[in-house]
Amino acid sequence: MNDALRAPHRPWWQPGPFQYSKVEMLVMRALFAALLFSSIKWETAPYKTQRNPTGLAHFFDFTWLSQHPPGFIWQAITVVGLVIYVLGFLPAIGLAPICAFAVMIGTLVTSKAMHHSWQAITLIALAQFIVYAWAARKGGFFRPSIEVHRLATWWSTVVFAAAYVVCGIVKLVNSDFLWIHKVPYLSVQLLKSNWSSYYDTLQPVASWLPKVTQAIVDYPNLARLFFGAGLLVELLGFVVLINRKWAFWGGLAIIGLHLSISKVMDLHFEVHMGLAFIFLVNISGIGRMRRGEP
Amino acid sequence: MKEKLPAWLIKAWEKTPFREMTLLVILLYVIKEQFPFSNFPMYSNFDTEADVVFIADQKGSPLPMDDVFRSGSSTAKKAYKKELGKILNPQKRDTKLSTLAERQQAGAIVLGDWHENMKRDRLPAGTTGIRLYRRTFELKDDGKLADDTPELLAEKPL
Repeated sequence: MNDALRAPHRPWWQPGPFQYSKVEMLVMRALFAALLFSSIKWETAPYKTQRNPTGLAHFFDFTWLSQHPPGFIWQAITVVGLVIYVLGFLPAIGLAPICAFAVMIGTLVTSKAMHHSWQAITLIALAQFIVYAWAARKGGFFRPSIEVHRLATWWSTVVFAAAYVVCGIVKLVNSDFLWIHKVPYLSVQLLKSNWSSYYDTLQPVASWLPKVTQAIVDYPNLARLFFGAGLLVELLGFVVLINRKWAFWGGLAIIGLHLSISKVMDLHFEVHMGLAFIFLVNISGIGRMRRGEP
Repeated sequence: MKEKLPAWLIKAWEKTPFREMTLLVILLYVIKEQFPFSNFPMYSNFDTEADVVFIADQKGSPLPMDDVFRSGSSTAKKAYKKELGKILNPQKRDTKLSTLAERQQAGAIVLGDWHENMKRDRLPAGTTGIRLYRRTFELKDDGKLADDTPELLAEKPL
């Protein structure tokens, strides 16, 4: 039966899983597995304390990881797990090692000082693990159905969208809904983030930095328009769930947002761009998107 | 499971737009920063000042933090702010109202941590000590951007 006929009708504001093909989801799983593995900070030796505990670090001590960083054997087990996950067999088992390491290492690293590079990707891995584990209870343990794979992929986009929407809401609330008004103050944040990068590497700050930061102060409304567009992309992050076209264009908007942040603030969110590329732009589904398939 | 829930709750759930995502947004907002959960509060509020912390040699010349300490300036700044917050927390004071002595107390803890992870072979020749500085950028009332002389927070001989 045609996917368009099989897809249940839902109002646009209550969307459900897209009718991804097996090939699309195979590509997504392969790219996601590579991104997830490469995003983990396997070099855990520098993290000897949990001085500022977060998450499970309130209950468990993960500093043993600094004495015994996961070596070749553990990483090999993780890779084997990811391979069977990519192939679509035993995905709950396959994801278990990488989820465990992502949570433990992420908790240890962020218990030294908070970072925001790993939360979204770890939550997506956990969401997929829960979907596959849940399906396993109903008999899809060894080889889940295509609907289960679609659900796991869908939850990945739900988590990703939620991360952006909550980020936008927090900006409004924490600034007493004055975020747009305060945009000229971002000029000092730009100085801070660029000089912070300088102290990391001693690579000179961009020559345009003084001019751009002063321009933000001198032309505040232009700056509000520019940075306000970024806030809008975050607040409207939920649109990527509506259909393939919204996901594609929303994904490109998010990548564009991060590229502009990389350029202007020297803050790099490669993992987030990678996630947007994998689950929203969905390179192997562009043909289906153009044909208007669900 | 659905049968055990009150009817009004099921009805509300069915009418909620983007319901799974909305529920997750609420959870992330409430849980805040508990890895892997986060409400992603970066750059959610800012004012006319922003500061960076960096590590330099005994003369005040910056050292490449990624290379020497395997952890960069923004991580050091976050750790410093956390430590300063802990010092000020009993009185629930704003970090902006901290004294130099309190800032130096927090700075000494951070420099101690970073010193532990230092790769000595990556230090430039002739380095005999390390110093932690705080540099503040400010938007002045006249609309001009300025930055003060970096403040020395801690130092450690090698």
